Amino acid sequence: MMIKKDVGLVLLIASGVIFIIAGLMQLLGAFPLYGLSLIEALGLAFLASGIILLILGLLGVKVGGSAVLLAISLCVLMVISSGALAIFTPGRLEDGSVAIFRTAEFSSVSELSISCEISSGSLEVYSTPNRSLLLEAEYYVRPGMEPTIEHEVVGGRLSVFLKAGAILLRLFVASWLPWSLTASTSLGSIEAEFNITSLRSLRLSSALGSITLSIMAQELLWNSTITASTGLGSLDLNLTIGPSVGCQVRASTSLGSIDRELEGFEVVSSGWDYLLIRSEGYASAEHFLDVSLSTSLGSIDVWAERRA
Amino acid sequence: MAPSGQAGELPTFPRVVEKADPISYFFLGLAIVSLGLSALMAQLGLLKPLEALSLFLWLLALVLWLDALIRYLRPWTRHKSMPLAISGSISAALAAAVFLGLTAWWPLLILALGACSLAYGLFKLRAARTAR
Repeated sequence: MMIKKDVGLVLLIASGVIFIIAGLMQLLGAFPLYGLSLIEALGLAFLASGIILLILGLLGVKVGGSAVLLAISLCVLMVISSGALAIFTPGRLEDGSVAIFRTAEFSSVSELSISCEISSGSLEVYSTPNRSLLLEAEYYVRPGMEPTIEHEVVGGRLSVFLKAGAILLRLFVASWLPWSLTASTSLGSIEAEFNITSLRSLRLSSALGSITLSIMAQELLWNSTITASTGLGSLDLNLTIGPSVGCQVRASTSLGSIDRELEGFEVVSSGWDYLLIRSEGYASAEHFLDVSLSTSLGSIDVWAERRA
Repeated sequence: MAPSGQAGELPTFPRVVEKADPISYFFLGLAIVSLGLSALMAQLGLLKPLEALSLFLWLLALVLWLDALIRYLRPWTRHKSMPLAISGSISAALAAAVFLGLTAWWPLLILALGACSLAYGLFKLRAARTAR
């Protein structure tokens, strides 16, 4: 019969086996729980770990470190099983695939709305002045993990919904149409570089990744809003506006820091955890750009310039 | 003073006299030589930075494994050999991952951790059963 103190060693052995299985699954690209979100996978792992600890507690077994290692190994196994880290496998990404929405095919479209939801991986967004193109999505995924791309045209508005597990995604958005974009990722970075003259709204969020925004607005056709938020990642804003644009930037962080470098902007209020700036001549501007940045633990860097 | 330790393990005695451990100095020296050698090769352009890092980790793994082996052969320092062997294995896995590309081959670290946990658990379990 097993002695109580052997339980710790058995748990240690079990952790070892689980770690080996998890490592092999990731290396071989086997993800049996693919489709489960990162949060769901972690939730299940915590549930299993909690139940094991409860049982050990009820049996009066003291195993401390071994139980913690078992809980960690279960979390690693669940996260890997869900395929959240599928893009980080050796040489198994497919060649790039492309989904294109051309102007010729959607001649009635006068506005663009894009919604993008990614579990893990990186997202890059660029604007393009190419008038033959509405949207181009270039992506790299593992075989069998192609993203879901749906679209509909209602009242001249083309709405594109893109959902993916693990992906490297690059979007090229027509900058000559009124457009709005909502993108979120649980684990991965977002990088955006565009001209926002025709932008209506932009919402970006990343739970664990960073966000880098490079924005140019020599003029605006209407008022625009930009919202970017991260949980643990950093947030960098590089903003250049023209004289006719009135711009306000609000930045706030819970535990991170905020740095700024401004030209043609004035600080309305600031503290260690918040910053509010406005462009010179804000009140007399033709159109307004409202930028809101927030992080929980990451730092925020704001570089803003108003060109005459 | 009474020796401590679980059944089935070699007893460990509390340290009575602060005495220099020549084996530690020797292997610490080897580890520093490995670091210097790798840095020098990178500086001379013979290796790229990541290759140099990989080389250092390989050499460190060899030093740690050798240290573990020698300590295992000397009973009064045997209790230190297992942590050193485990550290050496993790260093070797990290070296391989860095050499092959950390982005894709990071699971080698998980494999090494798993193998170490498994080996340690089995070793201790067998020792405990033998003692009973």
